[in-house]
Amino acid sequence: MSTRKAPLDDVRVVELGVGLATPLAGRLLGDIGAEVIKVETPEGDPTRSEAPYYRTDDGEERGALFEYLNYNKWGVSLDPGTDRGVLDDLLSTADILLIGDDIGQLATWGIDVASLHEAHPGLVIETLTPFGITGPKAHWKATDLVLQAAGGLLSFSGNAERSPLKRGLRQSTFQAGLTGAYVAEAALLGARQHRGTVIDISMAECVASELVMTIPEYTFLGAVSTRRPGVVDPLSGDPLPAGSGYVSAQVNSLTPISVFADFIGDQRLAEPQYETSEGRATRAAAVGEIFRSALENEQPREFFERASAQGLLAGFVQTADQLLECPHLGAREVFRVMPGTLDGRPWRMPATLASLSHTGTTVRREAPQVGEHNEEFVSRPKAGVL
Amino acid sequence: MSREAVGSDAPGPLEGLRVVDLSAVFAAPYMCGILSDFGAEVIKIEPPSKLDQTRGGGFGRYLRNEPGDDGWNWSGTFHSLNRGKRSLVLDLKQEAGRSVLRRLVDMADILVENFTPRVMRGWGMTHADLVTSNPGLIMLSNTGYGASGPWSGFKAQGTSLESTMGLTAYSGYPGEKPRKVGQSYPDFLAAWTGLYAILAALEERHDSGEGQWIDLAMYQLGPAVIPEALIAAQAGAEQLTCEGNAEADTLLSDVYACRGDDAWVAVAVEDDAARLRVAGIVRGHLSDDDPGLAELGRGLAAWAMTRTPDEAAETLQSHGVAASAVAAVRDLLLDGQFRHREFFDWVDVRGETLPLPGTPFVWTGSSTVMSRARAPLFGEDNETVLSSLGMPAAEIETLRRDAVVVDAPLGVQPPRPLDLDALVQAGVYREIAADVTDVLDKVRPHGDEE
Repeated sequence: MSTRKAPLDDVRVVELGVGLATPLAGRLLGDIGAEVIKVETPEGDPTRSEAPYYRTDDGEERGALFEYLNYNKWGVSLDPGTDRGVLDDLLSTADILLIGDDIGQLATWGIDVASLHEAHPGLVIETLTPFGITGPKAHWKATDLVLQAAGGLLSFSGNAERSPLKRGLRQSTFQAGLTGAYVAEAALLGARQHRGTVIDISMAECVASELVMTIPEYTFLGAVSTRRPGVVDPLSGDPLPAGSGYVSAQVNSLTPISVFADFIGDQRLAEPQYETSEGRATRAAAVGEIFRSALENEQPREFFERASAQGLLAGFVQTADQLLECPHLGAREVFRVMPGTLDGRPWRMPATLASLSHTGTTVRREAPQVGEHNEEFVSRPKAGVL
Repeated sequence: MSREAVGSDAPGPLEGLRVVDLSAVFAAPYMCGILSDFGAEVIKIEPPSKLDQTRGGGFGRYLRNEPGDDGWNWSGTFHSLNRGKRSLVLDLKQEAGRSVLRRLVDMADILVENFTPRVMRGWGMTHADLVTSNPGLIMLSNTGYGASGPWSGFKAQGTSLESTMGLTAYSGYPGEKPRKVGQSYPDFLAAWTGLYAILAALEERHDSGEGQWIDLAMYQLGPAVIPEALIAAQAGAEQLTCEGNAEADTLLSDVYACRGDDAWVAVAVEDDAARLRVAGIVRGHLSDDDPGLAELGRGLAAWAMTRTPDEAAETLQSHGVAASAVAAVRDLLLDGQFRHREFFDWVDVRGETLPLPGTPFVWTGSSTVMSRARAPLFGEDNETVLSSLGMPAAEIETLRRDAVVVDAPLGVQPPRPLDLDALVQAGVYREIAADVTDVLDKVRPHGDEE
């Protein structure tokens, strides 16, 4: 790594953010050098109290997820409803203002994005809320499930004979955080010529923007995608039981089924009835059983590494604990050691998304306490004193 | 009817930047499509005898299912991903083709590719090679596993990658096996992360004047969207598993069947106050005014049966309860919110004005972000791009004669229509809807154009 500056070295971001997506966007900007000031009301971001908790070196308990989403930030506390002058002063020194995930808060705080834009014409203002801040559903509430429903993903996810099935955990919320980061960067680059911008991101639309095939299937063909039948071709990548877990394997024109038959050492798989995807789908149980018995004594990881080394398209279902121990992610230095201890031991979280040859992801500070840096960033007296 | 969308000449935040896009399929093409939305000029380089799989082949979805003799020009998937670009068809297997590519790259700000790592090395076109004549060049290489690490050489494709990335382990019906959900999710994570990295490198270049190389490994992006599972794995707590539609941060969440065919509403009861509000709404179906969650779920299910998904969602939301119809594409097109925000971008494709998935934001200011045109036809910009290099007509003619530059795919069978009936039979599609033209007519914007 050379001595080149971090990309957002001289950029100041003010984050009026609670929850998951906006704080992730803020942190990603901090990771590439921005000075991110997280503004919270004195009660703090509710994510602070989401368990599990890690223990700091001083013996304090703090939310682990909050720490992950908010390191590389400074902390200021004020009540935007009453400390307007203080907030305005802070914004007059900022390049980017991030607001989200809770749209209700804007009204509570009396924040009107259009007048902020007028008062700070050079500022990039980005909101990141479930449905966006304009339109008839602007005030609708959402969880990850609701975002996936509203964004079109659920309509074709899951099993045809059963109910629609969501993608696990809060993946759609975090993906909106990724969008929040790149969009803010684009606006910042544009601000050199075009001054400030207001960007109103909808998390439901972030989900819909994934449907680059499903949307044209309907609009170009009239074809309505749906949940798949319960029985699909087992060699289309769906998890297959093997050893102590699951593997996945994909047959395509370059790697026909015979290659897999040789690979697992069971020529039954090379029989003609399994040659086509339809043939395998109608005999899914038999194909699954051939795989299961062939791979009974093989660990999924071994199967994956052996198959991939031979040029086959393969995978295996990994859980979080396996990812943490993954030699490949280890070699690429994806995880960083987090502060304090979790369950009495050091803990790690992903810190590097993409590797840039001259710009490392930097970790400069732990997540702030509420108002920890008021003295550094807020020149006027605190809330209630005005 | 024109190739460009109405208003496409408005400047974008990345106006003046030039991108050379060597990529195919989903992740990297989408990245470059969005760079075009931001106003960058994107030149897609395509090989003469191998179609991008979204142009033809497995992911081609041809307008009205009538590919004609040149179906590679009419795939909706391709138009969605490659909007706003120019197409130059160049044979990079010939030195003359690589020489043209080098000239283009010398004039570019950004180069994006998704070959296996050995290809660019073999051509002597690594970032280190290319910056000798263009020090400001930013290059992104998108691969399954990245350029370093023990799995670096492994082949990857979205579906198998999704399992290995840790994404499927937490998606599945309760207590059952993990499942893939959605389309090729790793590709989209890679598209957005790639943009984050490219734009960071552009910011940095303002200071240093130098470009850099971005090694984007799709596999590496899995952990970033499952932090709860990583924390649980280290917290000594119970490990997370497949929970169906139940969300850890709600009291109760699921989808409920509604009136209508395959009609569903998603509902999330986030806290006790919401529980009591839902109890009030579905009171007629409860035996208790202060129901437990199981009873509340039964009441919701019975209540939803007599309502459409939109009616159910609107009633719940008007009481501050998170809910939405499970929307299909038709519903997204007709949805008041999506229409108000103009989520869809409209472009002309073969005489029809059609919607593409747009960017997930409303952008207000003196610059504009939008799909600027449909995707290019195969080789549509051969002449324009080569001329922009100052190449004399005779030289262009030589390139054509030697099939270094071609105007129609070489040795490629024209794509055939999909057997839609068979796909419906197989359960891939629920139906081939007869209403699509009516729906599009209803929601198509009426601009100033004739």
